[in-house]
Amino acid sequence: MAMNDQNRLSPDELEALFQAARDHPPAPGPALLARVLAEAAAHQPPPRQAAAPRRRFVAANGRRQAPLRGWPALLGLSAAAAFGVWIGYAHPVLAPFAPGAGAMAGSGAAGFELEDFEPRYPDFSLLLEEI
Amino acid sequence: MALDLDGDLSDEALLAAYGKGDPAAARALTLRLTPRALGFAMRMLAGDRAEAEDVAQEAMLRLFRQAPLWRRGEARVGTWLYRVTANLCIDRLRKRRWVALEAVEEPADGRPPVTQRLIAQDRARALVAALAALPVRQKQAVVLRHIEGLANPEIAEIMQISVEAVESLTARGKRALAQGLADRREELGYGDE
Repeated sequence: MAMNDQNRLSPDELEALFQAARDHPPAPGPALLARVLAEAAAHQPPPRQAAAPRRRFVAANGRRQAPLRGWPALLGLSAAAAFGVWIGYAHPVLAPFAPGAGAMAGSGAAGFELEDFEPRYPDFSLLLEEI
Repeated sequence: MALDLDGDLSDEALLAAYGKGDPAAARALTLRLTPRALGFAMRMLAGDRAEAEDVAQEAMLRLFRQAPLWRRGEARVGTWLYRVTANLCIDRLRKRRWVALEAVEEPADGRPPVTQRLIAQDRARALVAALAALPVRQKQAVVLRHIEGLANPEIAEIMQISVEAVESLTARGKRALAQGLADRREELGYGDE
């Protein structure tokens, strides 16, 4: 028979206390549950709606890419338009050869120097963002 | 689709459903986790139900706020809740000098109670009172291990210490409890054996 140390509970006696605590857990009352449920309702996100599928196009290399949106697209379009205007005013000789410039044929630049053919390109980095 | 409240869904699945706006998940989480937070807080706070309810409510509130940010694969919900509840309890313990509540009421005629149910309830209350005398970390480790039934690795994660440190804390805590309750052996229903 195991010695009973009067100065401390035995492991079995202590375990019986733990078991009693496990068998009698404190139960939340209805008031506490109602308060917690109210917090849950107050902080719950609204039900999510199914997101619209993102539209993507297939590039020439076969890779699916998101379409350009927002300011990058506007910036590129603006740069392209500005370049077209620049061609029409600064290089009237080249204007007929610019894309979509058929209507502008015969802008009539009479007399030019060789340096007029020296390319003076604007910053293409903005245009290249479209590629 | 009604959510299963009987436990087929994990805590994490319920929390995810709550984060997506499912009201049934809100009810299921409340019913499943509030008792866990309250029980742990009661044992940490020497049985003070009013304080423990405040702590449990605050812990659940923090869980609901965390739900939209919850990342699967990180801490388990139960582990997270125990850690938050423990920290809230420790904050309250540090602000006040807690005195162990008298857990066992003396019967009028001085004899110990005889029914098994009364003995069990008295033992539970006596244990809570004895836990109040322990250092906070020992108390936390003992409660998580021997009342909440968690394994040492999970306790280590909750307390952010090593498994060896958990074992040391629980051993020292149990030794202190055994010594502190020795003079109550008879009233707790332990006769000479």
